[in-house]
Amino acid sequence: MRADEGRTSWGRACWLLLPSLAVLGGVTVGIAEGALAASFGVSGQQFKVKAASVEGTDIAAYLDTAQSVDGTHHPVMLAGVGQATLRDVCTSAVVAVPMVGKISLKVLGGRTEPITGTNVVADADALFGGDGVITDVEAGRDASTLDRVKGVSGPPGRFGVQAGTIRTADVESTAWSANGGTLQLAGDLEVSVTAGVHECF
Amino acid sequence: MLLSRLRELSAGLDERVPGRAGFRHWRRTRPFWGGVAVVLGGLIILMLPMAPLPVMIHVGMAAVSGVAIGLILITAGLFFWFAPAQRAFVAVVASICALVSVVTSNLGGGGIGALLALVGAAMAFGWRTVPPPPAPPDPGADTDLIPPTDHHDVTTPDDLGDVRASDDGGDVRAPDDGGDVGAPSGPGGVRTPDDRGDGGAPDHRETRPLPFLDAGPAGLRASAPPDAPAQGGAHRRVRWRSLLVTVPVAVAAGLVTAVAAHRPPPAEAAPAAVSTCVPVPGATRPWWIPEWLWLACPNPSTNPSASPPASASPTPPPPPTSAPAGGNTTGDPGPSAPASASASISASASASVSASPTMTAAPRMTNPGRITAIKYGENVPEVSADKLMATGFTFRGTVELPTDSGAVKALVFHADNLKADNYRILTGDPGPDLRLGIDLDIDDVDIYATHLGGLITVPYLDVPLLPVEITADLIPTWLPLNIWLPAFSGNGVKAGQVFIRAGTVRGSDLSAEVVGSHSHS
Repeated sequence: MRADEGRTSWGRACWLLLPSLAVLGGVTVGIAEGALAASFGVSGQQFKVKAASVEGTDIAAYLDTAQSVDGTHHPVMLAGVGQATLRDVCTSAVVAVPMVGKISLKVLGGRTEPITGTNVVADADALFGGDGVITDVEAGRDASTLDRVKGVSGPPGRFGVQAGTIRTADVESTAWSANGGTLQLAGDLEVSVTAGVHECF
Repeated sequence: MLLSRLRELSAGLDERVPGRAGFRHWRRTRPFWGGVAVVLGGLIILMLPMAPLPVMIHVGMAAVSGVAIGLILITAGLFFWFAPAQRAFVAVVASICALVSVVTSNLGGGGIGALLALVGAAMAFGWRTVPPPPAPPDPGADTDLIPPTDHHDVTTPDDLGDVRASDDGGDVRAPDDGGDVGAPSGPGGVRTPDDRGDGGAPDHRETRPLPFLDAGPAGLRASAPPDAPAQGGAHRRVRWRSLLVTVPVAVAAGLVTAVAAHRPPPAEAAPAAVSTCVPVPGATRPWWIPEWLWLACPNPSTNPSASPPASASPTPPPPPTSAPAGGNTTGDPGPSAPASASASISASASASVSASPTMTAAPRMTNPGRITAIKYGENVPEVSADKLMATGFTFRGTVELPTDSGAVKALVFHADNLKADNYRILTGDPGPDLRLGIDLDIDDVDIYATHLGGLITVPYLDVPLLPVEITADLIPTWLPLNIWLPAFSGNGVKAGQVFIRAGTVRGSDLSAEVVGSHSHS
C-alpha cells in the first residue's frame, strides 16, 4: 500500500454511523407508531395498491391525465380522500435502478392497526373492489366545482364525482402517483426490497 | 489459499488490463466505496418520485424533496470521489439528508436508499489515508484527568485542554492540539506515552520524544506536531459536532408535510349524435303489444351507430305533431331516418312522435331547489344497465341544469330504492374515458337524465311490456307526474345521465378503468 492510499476505519466510521442509525431507529419507530407523519409521493411509474378494507370521508374524483417518467400520458382518475383509513395494505412498485436492474419495493402495513391518512390523493387508472357503501353521492358535477377535498378540483366542464363517506372491501388499484398529505402508520410496517418483479397482485 | 489465488489473479490482470492498477490506486486514495454507496442510495431516493416537473409539483412534498435529497446525495458521492479532503463535512451532510428523506420521501426510498446513504457516508467519514493502528485507543478514556504522580509514565491525553505531565520528566511528549500543558519540572529523559496507562489497550504508536521543554512549573504552552493522534483528536471533536447537528435536524424533518394540488388543462367540447329508435338488445315484440306501440329497433344488432353519446347542448322543442305518419305502421323510423351524426334531438323526437300518439311535452319540475345552483359537466355521460328495478319511483318533470356550455334540460326521477345490474358509465369528456361497471343498490336517489330508453318490463315478472325512448322534451302521456309508483322495472336501459344524487350507494363487483381518448365519430 502506498503512502497516500487509505482505507475505511470502521471504528472511526462508527462515530457517524452509530448516531445516524440511532436517529434512524428513532424516526422509524416514530413513523411506525404513528407519532411522526411520513410523507409519501410516488409518481411517474405504475404501482399497485391492495387493501382489505378502505374507509374514507369526503371523496372527490375526476378524470385526468398522468405523465410518466418517459413523458407519455396515461389516462387516470384523480381521486382525493379527505380522511382515509386502510387495513391490511400492500403497496408495490417496480423501480428500474441504473446498474442494478429491476428492484421491487413492497410495503406491507395496517394489519394489526389501520393506517390513517389525511388528504390522500392518487391517480388511479384501474380500480376493482368488492362490496362497498358510498353515501351522499353526487355524480356528474362539474369537476371544477368539487369542494369535498381541499386541492382536488378539476378543469371546468368535466365529469366529476364526490361523496360523503365510503366503505369498501377488497380494493385493488393500479395507480401512477399517490401522495399522502400525511400518513399515520401504526404498529406493523414491513418494507421489503427485492431484486426482480414481486408485486402485490 | 483462495486469497493467494485471488492475489495472483489480480496481479495477472494488472499486467494485462491497462489502467487497472492506476484505477486501483485512484480508488484507494479516496473513499471510493463509500461514495458508491451514497450515490446508489441517492439514486434510489431520486428514482421513486422521478417524473416530469409538473407532475412532481402535483405530487408535492415527497416528490420534490425526494429529488432534492437524491441530488444532494449524488453530489456528496461525487465529492467523496473528487474532493476527498472534504469528506468529513460532506459525510455529515449526507447523513442528515438521508435521515430527513426517511420522513419526507417514501421512507427514504423504501428504507434501502437511506440506509445505503448512511452506511456510505459513514464509510467515507471513517476513511483515512494512514492505515489504522491494530488497536485504536479507547475514546472514552481521555475524559477524566489524573493528577500528576511521581510515575515516570506520564498521562498526556491528546485532545483535552488542560493536560498535566509528571513533574520529574525532562523530555515531555507534548499533547497534540496545543492545549495548556502542565510541564514537568524534573530532569529530562522521560518518555511519556500519549495514552493513559489505566485506560485500556496499550498504545502501539511509536512515541516520539519532543525537544526539551523548560522544566518550569505548570502552564507552559506546547505546540503540537502534526502526528496521528492529533488528527484523531480533531476528528473526534468533529464527530461530536456532527452528532449535535444530526439529531435536531432529523427531528425537525418530521414536522414537514405536503398537500398536492392538481389542476390539469381545461376540457374541450365534444360532438354529439342521437338515436332514432330504442335499441334494446335481444328484444322481440310480444304478440299482445301492437306494432305501433313497439318502438324497439327490429334488429338491434344492425343499429350499432344508434347509441353514440347524447347531445349535451339544448335543442329547441320539436313541433307538436301528434298525428301518426301515414303508412308508417312498422314503428321503425330508424333505418329510414337520416342516421348522420348531425341528426338533432328534434328530428329524433318527431320521429318517435310520428310513430306513437302517446308522447307529450314534458312538464317542468316544480321547486327544483338547490340543484340548479350547482354547475354540471357539459358532456353528458352515457349510462346503461342490463336490468333496472326501482321502487317508490316518481317522475318529477324536467329541469334546466347549468353547465359551462349552457343549460341542459334533464328529466328528473326519484326512486326510494334503485337496483341496477351491471351499471356502466362511459363519460363523454374529451381526453380519458372512465369505464365503470358495478352492480348498484341505491337508496334515496335522484336521477337527472337527458334521455332514457329501454324496455319497460312487468315488475318482478321480467315480462317485456313496452319499449320507450323518452327525452327531456317529449315524454309518454301515460308517464304520471309526481305520482309515486310502487315498482318500475326495465331491461337494457340506457340514459344520458347528467347527474345523480344518492343517499346511500351499495355497490359490488366494481371495476373501473380509465382508458385513452375515444374518437368521437
